[in-house]
Amino acid sequence: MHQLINAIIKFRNALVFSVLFVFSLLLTSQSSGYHRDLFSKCSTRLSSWLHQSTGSLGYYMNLSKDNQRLTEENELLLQELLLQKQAGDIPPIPYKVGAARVLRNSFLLDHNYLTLNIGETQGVRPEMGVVSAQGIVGVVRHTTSRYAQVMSVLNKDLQVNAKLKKTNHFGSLKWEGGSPAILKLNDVPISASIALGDTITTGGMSTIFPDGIPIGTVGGFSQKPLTNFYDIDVTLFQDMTDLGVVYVIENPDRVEMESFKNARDE
Amino acid sequence: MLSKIQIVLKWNPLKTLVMNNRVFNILALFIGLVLAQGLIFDRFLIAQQYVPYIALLFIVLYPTDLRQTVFLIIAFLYGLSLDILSLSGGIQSGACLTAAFLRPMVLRAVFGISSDYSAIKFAKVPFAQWFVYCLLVVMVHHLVLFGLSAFSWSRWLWVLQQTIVNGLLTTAVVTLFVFLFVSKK
Repeated sequence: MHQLINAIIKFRNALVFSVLFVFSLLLTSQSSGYHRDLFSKCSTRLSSWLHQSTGSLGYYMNLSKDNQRLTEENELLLQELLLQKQAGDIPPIPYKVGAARVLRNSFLLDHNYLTLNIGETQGVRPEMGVVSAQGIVGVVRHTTSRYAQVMSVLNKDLQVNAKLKKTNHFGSLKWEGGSPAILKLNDVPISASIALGDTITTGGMSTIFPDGIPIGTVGGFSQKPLTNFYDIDVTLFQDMTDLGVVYVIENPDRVEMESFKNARDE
Repeated sequence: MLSKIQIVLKWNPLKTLVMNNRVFNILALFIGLVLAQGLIFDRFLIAQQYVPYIALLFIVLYPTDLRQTVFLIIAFLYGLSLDILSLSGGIQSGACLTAAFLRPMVLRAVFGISSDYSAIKFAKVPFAQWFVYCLLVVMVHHLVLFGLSAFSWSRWLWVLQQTIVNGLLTTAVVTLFVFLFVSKK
């Protein structure tokens, strides 16, 4: 305390100077519109800088919440998009979309599976489609109350109905092992006109995936020997080795459609 | 109790003031210069933009052997009165205050360490010393004055030009006044 008082006495001139100078600055700032403007500009800059630097911490804290919000938003948008894509006279199928996070993803085996962090409690059932923003990911195989196992498109047992976006020729998409970026599209007749880079989308024949979800592009094609079908290499849009958030798509009419199909088959 | 009353009775304000003639001088200089600056010299526009700040005479001539802290407060009030007269917010107070704050350093630089706490008779010092001292104090004042007035780095050239031209002008006028009116006794 004694030292403090000594210091104050020692620097009293500087102290008096600073206090009075700040006061004169205050007076100046109030004097004219020009100065008022400048001061408010300065204080705005200072406070926004402060808020920005402290805000970036809050930004990190809120990232997961923001992510959650964005995912929910994407769910809605995707749902909306799927409705939009089904143009025409027939009433559209109101697909339901639920976002999920990929917990485990394999792509090195012949039969690859994914694990999602949502399950039956969130309404996931087997045979639902799983897509990402870039394309299809797989089909739900098993579910538990909290998790779902998804058969990846990189699974030799999975066949997906797909078509050429340009000409609507259907084929079935299948992975034959090897590169996780390339799938095979079989059963496309040679009457179809194909060019490199053509887009492949899901076909409407499946009850799992809605029509027109992008899958990939034609990376190469040739005629299968002794058949009238093409052998097409499809380069996936979605990098299957890098999956974060995916969306599970539910077709509410699927059971009905399946029963119809089964009845016809019998 | 009785002694206290006696002490109070002994203290005669008029007598003290008369005795302390310097306070009168300072007060007269204060009021006279503020009025002279605000009412007369502010209208002496030379080349439409330069004004001689004769008011600085007060800061320059303020006795050097009085307390610096009191000087700071007086200088601030002096600038404030100028501000009130010319409606300039707080730029004169800031400038006068800064000039008063830096004056001891200027004194030490110009008149040497021996000048500390001793009365300097400005009218008697050599012209060169006087001129440098006066110019430095005036420049400090003007730099702050025009700096606060512009309040923007982008106008530094204007500030510099105003400071130098006005500073020389003010120094000349102040020097003239000192040589004409301050007694050399």
